Amino acid sequence: MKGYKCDSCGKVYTYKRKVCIKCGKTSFSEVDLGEEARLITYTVLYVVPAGIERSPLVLGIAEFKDGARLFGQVMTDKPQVGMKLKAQYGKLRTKDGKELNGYYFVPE
Amino acid sequence: MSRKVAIIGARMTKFGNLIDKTLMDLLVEPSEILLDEYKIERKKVTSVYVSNLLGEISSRQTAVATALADYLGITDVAAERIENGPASGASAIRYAYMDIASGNSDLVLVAGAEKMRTAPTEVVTDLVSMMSHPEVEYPSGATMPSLGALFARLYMQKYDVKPEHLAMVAVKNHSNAMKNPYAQLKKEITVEQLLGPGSESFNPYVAEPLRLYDMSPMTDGGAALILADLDTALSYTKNPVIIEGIGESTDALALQDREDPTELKAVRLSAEKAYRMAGIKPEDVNVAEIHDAFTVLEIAISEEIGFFKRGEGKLAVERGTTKIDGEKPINTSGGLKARGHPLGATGLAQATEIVWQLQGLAEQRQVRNANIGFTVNMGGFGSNAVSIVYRRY
Repeated sequence: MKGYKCDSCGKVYTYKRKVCIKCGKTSFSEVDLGEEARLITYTVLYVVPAGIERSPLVLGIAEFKDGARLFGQVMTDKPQVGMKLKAQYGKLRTKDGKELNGYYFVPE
Repeated sequence: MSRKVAIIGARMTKFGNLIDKTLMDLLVEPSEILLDEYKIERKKVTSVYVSNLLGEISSRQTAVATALADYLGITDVAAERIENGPASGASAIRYAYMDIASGNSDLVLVAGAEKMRTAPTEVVTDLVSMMSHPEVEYPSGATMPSLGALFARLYMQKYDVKPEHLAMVAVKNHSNAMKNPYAQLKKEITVEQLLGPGSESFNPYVAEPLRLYDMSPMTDGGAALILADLDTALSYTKNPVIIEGIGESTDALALQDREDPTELKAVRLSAEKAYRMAGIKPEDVNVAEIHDAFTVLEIAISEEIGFFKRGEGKLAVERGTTKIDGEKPINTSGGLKARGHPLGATGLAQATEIVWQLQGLAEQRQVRNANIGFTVNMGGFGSNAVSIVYRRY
């Protein structure tokens, strides 16, 4: 998993940004976040929006090393805070007939 | 030196499932009542602001402020629609405030409305979720309740907040709504019903750990306010409400990017700005309407706005401090939870309740000796907040 570390304040993001929301600086370096993330919070969502096929849908925020966080779908029926996850890339939903892709999590 | 800005009056429609009312009905009705009641000549109005989010889809309508001016027979004014997520209503008041304080406008009509019950739930849920981060939240299926739930799990874990605390907020706000003829949910509930045996069917999970009765409902409704510089306001009423402070703040758009995702920093900073501008402290506030889109938010926000120490909002709920007859009444109207949450109208409905409290018009919900009122209206899930301080004239 690729991360983007702010050269000024050190905040690490899981997606590319032009400006750091923490310090306002614009220079980032790519860092390797490894494969493993830890689930810090989750929900089992029973009312899903149009364009999502899974119901109920497990959504969560996982933390990689250096505190880099990523929100996403978690492919498990038994989510638990602290569980180890791996991020994978693929189809997430449809919007206006088009597929939207991105990262989701699978249990390790 | 900017001019003092006052609210002449406030009105709202009944909130609920208003299938027979159009978006224009919901804007026109409270506006007309106000103009007639205070005998305001249409030609005296200098600006019209409308807060609304979903007009394109709910009603196939844009440029609704111009439409409202036209329907009311008002011409040659500034007419603009304000969109700031669920904080659109408070933002519209902020525009009116700036317009008047700067001397640009003397008499401003602010109206807000939303039609949320026309489209199917999954479609409205999707529309509302469009205010989430377009790259890191929306594609995964983020909805406002799901973000609220992720926040709730972290916040409840950190401060040992129990489902009973959330249920007590729902019970209080439903009870307040019973006294509010304009509220959507007219149903007394008990903690036992919400959490006891058999509660899974009465109060099912929507987004764990949040259940149905932790959520504000889908609502149709409208509300309107008329504001003016203080001199003009006094020519229409002896009982205006002064806007003493307005503060707005933002935080990272995505929940994952916030320094501490158990904080609502935009709420805290917006409140601090409003208090500073008004020259008051949180302990000076006598009555408040705060953004309880989810029950957990009423507790968390009550701490962020300085009413209670961090982690002690739950104690205030336990002790009844936030009830109508408590020391710090919160959401006397029933809040978003039970009055209802028609997105574009919510900020104006909050203001309406505070105006009525300060004008002594809150009937069975009247808080004694209400002198200073406060509202906080959240846009997005914690990414934007607008706070307002009001004072009785």
